[in-house]
Amino acid sequence: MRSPVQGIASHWDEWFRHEAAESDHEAIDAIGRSGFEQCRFIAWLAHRWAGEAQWRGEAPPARYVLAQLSRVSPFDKWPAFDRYRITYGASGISAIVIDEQSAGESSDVRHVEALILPADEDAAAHDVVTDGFHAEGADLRAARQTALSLLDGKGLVAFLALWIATGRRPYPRWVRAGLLVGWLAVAALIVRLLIGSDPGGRLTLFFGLLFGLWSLLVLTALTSAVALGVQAWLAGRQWRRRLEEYQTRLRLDGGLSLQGGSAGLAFCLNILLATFRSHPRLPTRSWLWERFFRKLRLAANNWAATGVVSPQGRVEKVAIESKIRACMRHPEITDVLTPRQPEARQSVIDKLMLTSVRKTRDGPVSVGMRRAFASERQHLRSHRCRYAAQSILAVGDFTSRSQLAVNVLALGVSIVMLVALPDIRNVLYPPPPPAVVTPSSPSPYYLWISLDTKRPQAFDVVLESGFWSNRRADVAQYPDPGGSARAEIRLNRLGRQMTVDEQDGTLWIERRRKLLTREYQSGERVGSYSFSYVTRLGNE
Amino acid sequence: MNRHLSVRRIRICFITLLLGGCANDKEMRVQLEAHHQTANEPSLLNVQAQVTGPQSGLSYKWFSVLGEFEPQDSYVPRSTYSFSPSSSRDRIWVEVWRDNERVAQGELDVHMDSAASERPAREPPPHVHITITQIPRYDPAGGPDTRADISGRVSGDFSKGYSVILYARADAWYIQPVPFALHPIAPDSTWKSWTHTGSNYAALIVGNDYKPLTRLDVLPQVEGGVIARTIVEGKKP
Repeated sequence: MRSPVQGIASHWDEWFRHEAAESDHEAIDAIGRSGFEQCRFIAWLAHRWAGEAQWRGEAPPARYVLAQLSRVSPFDKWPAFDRYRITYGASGISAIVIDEQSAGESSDVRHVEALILPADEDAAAHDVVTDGFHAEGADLRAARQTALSLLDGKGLVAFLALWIATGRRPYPRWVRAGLLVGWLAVAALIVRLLIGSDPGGRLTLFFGLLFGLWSLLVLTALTSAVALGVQAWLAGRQWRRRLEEYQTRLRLDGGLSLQGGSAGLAFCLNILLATFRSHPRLPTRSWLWERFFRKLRLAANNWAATGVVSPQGRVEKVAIESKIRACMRHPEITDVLTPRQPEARQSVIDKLMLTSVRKTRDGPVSVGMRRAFASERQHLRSHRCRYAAQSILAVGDFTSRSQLAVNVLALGVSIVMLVALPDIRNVLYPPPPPAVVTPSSPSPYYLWISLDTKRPQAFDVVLESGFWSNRRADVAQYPDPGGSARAEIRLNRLGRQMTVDEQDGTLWIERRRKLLTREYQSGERVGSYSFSYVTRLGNE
Repeated sequence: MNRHLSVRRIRICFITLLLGGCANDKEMRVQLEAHHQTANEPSLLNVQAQVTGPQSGLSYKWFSVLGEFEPQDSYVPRSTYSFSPSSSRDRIWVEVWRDNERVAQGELDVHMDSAASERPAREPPPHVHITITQIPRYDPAGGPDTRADISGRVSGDFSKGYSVILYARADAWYIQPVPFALHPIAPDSTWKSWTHTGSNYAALIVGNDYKPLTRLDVLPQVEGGVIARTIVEGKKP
């Protein structure tokens, strides 16, 4: 016993042939005699019956039901059902499947239709069922597996990573302009601080401005990316669950037996579209998915795809030349998704277009007339994809060069900022003043000023003396046992000393202010120690 | 209500953190150090304050129980203290002020150098003599990257409790080979060490409790803790 949706045609046929009363047959015949009544019956079935009928809590897909009924008596003779015999009305991206005798004709670009239906109760039923063609089960499973991965899996991760790197954001124009100006301002501020004049007392203001602006921009970018990514994941997870539970039906006219899996990419994208069509309004809205599916529906008549998809989501190479030629000869195809292979480069396609065929519009030529060409220049855009995730970027028109440029700028600025963060921190949130501690120098020719601080780069030491040469030294962390942070000063007696007291001198601890390689005027003095005290330290 | 309280607590913690950070940043600490001005003036001390914290706008006020400071108010962390004639011990303070606010205070117990005060009465042992028998090379630049051996002999009448300290002369006298190094005298009255090179070399016999200075402009005379000394020029090739 088939389910009410999958088996509606056989159930009807059973009833019509064996169980319907004579009066039922007469009533049906009466409707069938008028084209208008046939259309009314179809309208009733599509709008009223399908709206009210429920199967596992959902309305059955009316076009599928009509397509099923169109093949059984008496509907197989009703002209109003003709259109339902050849299509589900769920067209998507076309597949390019070359006929045995063909070298690439427009007829080789074939519409693919996909539906997902509540799974049959028959446990042996396949996950993917073909209609009108035959394909290897492994190829169909790979397409479905890739679609699942794109909804919630590695494919989605790859798509999100690509989108974060190069994809456009849903910002209003003024926000986009503001962010660009912000990143440029941060870059300009860094350049100003690195090569401009010393800001003196305004350094803290500059650093505060720099850090605040950068933090705001990073926070905005991260919040936006994370929010959109999480929404896409939540929505994708719900669709994945649905796709896993439902049966997928693929339709390709022509009675073909497919040799090879180059229609896999088209199947995969159409499975995604069918999943969306089966449940377009999720509780969780996702800008990424909504944009992709909107573009995918719009692209249905103008896009074709070729490529073998592996279960890991890779798009493998195919024999492509005849497929490109088929697309070029097709009057409606403007964009083609291909694997990443040299023969699919845009320059190669453009060359082929120049030397290639003329597109012939369908339609008869009047008697006494000859067909002639006054065609506009045709253009076929190639979108090469190494991964199925890239096809989402291409179809969804996510790739934005201006966003990519902003991302590169933001990445460069952020790397510089991350490297400079310790320096900025030392100015904006300076460490407490350190005390001078042991160890002292083991050499009489050197003076060590060891400080009890965890941030040695935040300090300078200055020796001012009337007996010894004045010195300035940076504090650094030394890797000796105990790991002391210290400044090492090589002592040198003044040629014309101002005192005979060799203990004369003051050691000042100063806050060091720098940004990467740029040193600024020293900051506040936060310690004062006598030369004699430091000399005796640890030996008293 | 609870949420309101939580938000308020978070605010208080945040403000406390900020203030804590600021307080820590501006924290002042002071430590006093005193040493005798000269061996001949045991009642005079040079007092210095080692000050940790922001230095701008600081002034110092000096206090004691019995003695006196000169000056008592200063803008540098140094002053000179003299013991009162009737005492040999005292307690001294320094207060650190900024903008009419006392920001730190330090104190120190001081005592007169009794050894120094008794020194005139203490005579060095008679006939003590020190010689350098292994003289390093003459090297007027000297410095930390050089090295040579030095040894010598002590003669005369002296008891245990004495050691040898060495200096090498570059731009000043530097103790050898490391700060505060005291070299023991062997039972056969010899001593030896290594040294950085210099133009001249000096060896002094001092008591084991002697606190030698690391760098000197002028070597100490034979008095007080020093009971003998010798100075030789480095060996020229």
